[in-house]
Amino acid sequence: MNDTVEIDEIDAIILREYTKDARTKLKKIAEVCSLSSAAVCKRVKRLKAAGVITGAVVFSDMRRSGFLYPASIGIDSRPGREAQIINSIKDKVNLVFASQGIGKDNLLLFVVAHSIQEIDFLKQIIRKQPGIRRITVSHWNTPYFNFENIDL
Amino acid sequence: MDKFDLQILEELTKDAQTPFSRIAEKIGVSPKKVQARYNKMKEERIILRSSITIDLSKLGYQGRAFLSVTNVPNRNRKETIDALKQMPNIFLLTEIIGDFDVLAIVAIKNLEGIISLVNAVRKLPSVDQAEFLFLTSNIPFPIDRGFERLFQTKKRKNLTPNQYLSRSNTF
Repeated sequence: MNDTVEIDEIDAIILREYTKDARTKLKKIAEVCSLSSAAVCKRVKRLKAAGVITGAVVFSDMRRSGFLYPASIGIDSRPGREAQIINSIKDKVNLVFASQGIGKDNLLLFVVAHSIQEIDFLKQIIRKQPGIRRITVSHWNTPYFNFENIDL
Repeated sequence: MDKFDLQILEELTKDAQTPFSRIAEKIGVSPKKVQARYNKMKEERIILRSSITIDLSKLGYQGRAFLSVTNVPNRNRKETIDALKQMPNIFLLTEIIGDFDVLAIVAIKNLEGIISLVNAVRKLPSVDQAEFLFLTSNIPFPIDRGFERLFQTKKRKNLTPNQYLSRSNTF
């Protein structure tokens, strides 16, 4: 377990503002916090150095760049097969992330495919691996960002 | 979208805070053009939004879960989504096609948090079945850093399975 980092309300405001828009101007955040830009900048640097802020991303409509089928794939397999499953597919699809799971599935993958056929192809490859009990594919249809809901 | 748009998108997917001047230099256009393209992509809803990424485990969160629910037949799925949106620490939702109807990603602070969430979800009149899958990786918010790899087909192949799993395996 990682060491936790103590943050105060001003840090929380900074995090919330950058969660709404990563490109928010420092000056605007300084206004919201009633601090100088330099003071905000110092806090941002501290949050980055402490590993709280790990980077910044844009969310694009992936369908527009040809990635039509974002999907999560839950896999129930015999224990210890995770690495082998990832190995079998990682060169064949755009695997964004993989995590071990506790619950019905012990491995969860998130992939972004160009076509339904690609997902089906992937499913067939996974099914051929030894120790697979069940594969559940969920195609992500319409995402809703609800980032403001997190308690920072 | 042309190759400039894609290049800008790639840079911003890696780091949404990259100064436009640096992107401009890299792809060989003026900063003004990068700014104009960025604005246009936002207008056209190609770029939906941006956010910093936060390691929630540093802020005392202990894990995250994928909550999959099925909707009661004849009830609007929007009803479920709107109700889930209000629940504490559910930060991403999507309508899904598959065994379930809606998927929600929730950050978990402690056991009490899980219990109250499970109870609240079960009480929703539009929810039929609900299932939790707890992920053992750490808790990237709002989403795992990995989308930049969509643009880098060669580098991706060099990652080992353990790198996929352990990039964040600290829970």
